[in-house]
Amino acid sequence: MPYAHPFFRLAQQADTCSEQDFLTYAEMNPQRQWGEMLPLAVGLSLIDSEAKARKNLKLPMFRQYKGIINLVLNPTDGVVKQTGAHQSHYTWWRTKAFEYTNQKMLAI
Amino acid sequence: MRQLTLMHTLEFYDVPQILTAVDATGTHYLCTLYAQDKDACRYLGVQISEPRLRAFIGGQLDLRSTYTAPEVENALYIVEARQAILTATTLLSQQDVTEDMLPEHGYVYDATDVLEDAESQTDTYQLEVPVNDRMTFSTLISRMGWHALSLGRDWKKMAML
Repeated sequence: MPYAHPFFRLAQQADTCSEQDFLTYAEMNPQRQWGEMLPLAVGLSLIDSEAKARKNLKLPMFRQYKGIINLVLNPTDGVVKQTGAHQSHYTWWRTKAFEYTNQKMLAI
Repeated sequence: MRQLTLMHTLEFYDVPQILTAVDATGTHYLCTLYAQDKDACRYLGVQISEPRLRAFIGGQLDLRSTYTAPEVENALYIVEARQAILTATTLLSQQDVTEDMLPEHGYVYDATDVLEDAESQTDTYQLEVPVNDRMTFSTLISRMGWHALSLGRDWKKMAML
């Protein structure tokens, strides 16, 4: 994983991110059967295009979101892989070593 | 209730956000996630013609307008994804659709960063189809979950399956 590769993730609050912003769908819904979607459900989506991240805020699920987190990950933070049809989309399988505090927030 | 077959995931963020599906009659649905709970993801689905769906994928149509100005009446549904099964559960009137179910103005799909590998997951065939069998052919390929991109243009001769 390139250390300096910038990634963007949507945040519920404008000024600060919280643990909620880094919960996977599998963590939020432990009873749900994910089937072949399980590898993605236990990961977090990242986007490497700020413009694309901003556009996703227009989708119904994210209209209440107020911020964008600009992440620069360290090797100890987990594994990132490009996934899905869009070149800009990555899945991040994060480790518990990741510290969500002090992440850079972008104004929207 | 009618079961749908997933055709394409157009936008993925943690879970599929925008997808296309088809029902047993070959009708296309464009579905956008608006809610989820511990059991299911809920999408606002709209029945959509193939040319209009192509226009959306081609970036010529705002996502919101597909829901606020559907082509026909009785085109809006709640579509539930439950354990990988897609079902159109509830017919909605335009008045049933609340603002929190809709995308904001300005979401235009961008396929420019779609990977070639994703595109090449389909094979292309040329078929000679008698004009008299046009409707049968159309129904058949839809039921198989295939896609005829060239329908309406030169579709009696060629279909991309």
